[in-house]
Amino acid sequence: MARYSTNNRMGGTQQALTTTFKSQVSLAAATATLMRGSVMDIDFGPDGAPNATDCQIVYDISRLTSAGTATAAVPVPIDNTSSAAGTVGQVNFTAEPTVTAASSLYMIALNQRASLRVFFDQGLRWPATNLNGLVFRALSPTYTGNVATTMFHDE
Amino acid sequence: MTWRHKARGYGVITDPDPPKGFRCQTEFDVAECSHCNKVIMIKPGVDVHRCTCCDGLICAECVGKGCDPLEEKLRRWENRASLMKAMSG
Repeated sequence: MARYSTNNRMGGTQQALTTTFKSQVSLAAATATLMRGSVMDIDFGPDGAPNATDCQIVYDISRLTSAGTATAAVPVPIDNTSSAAGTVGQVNFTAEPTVTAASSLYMIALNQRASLRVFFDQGLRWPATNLNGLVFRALSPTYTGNVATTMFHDE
Repeated sequence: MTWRHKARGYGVITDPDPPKGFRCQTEFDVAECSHCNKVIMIKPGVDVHRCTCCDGLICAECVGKGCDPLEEKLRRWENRASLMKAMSG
C-alpha cells in the first residue's frame, strides 16, 4: 500500500466559490486499474483574500458515481519508489459530478480565514468500482474566492 | 474506552482571527463510523457509540440499525457493479 497526494493546484483553473457546492478534488476508481482506496489525510482552506464581510465557507466530502467535467490530475506518490496510482484524480470541476444523495461523510463550516487539516484513523474508503470515489466540495454564501485542498490517499 | 475504542484520528483548525476566548489553533479527535464511514468528531468526556457486534465505533445515525460493517458494504457495492456490468453485456 502506498500513499499519494492530489491537490487542486495541479492543473486546470481554480473555480470561484458560489452559494452552491463547487467540486474541487475528486478521487475515484477506474476500470483500467480497478482498486479500492481510502483518504487518510486532508487539508483545506481559502486560497484568496478574505471577503470584507465576515462569512463562512462550508466544506464537504461526499461519494460520487460519475466523473463530471474537470481537469485530470495524476496523484503523486509520497514515496517516489511507489508505482503510479491506480486511482484517477480530477480537480477544479467546471461541471459537477453525480454526488450520491445523503452520502456526505464529513461536512464542516469554517470561518473564511480558517483552515483545517484532518488525519483520519481508518480512512474514508471507496469501492473498487468504476467511477466510484470521493469528492471534496466547498461553498460560501459570501466568499467568492478560491479554496485550496490536498487529499492524501492510500491504495 | 479501551485502546481499541479510542479515536486515533485528529484534526487541527487554524484560525488567525478566532472569536474571543478561543485559541488560534483548535485540535480535536476524530474517528470514522465502522458502519457508514462518516466522520465522528469526538467531544472530550462524551462517550462514543460502539457496535456490540463488530466492536467498532459507530455514529449516532447507525445506532440501533444492526451491524453492517463498511467492509461488507464495499463488497456489496462491488458485487452489484460487477453484476450490472455482466447483465449489460
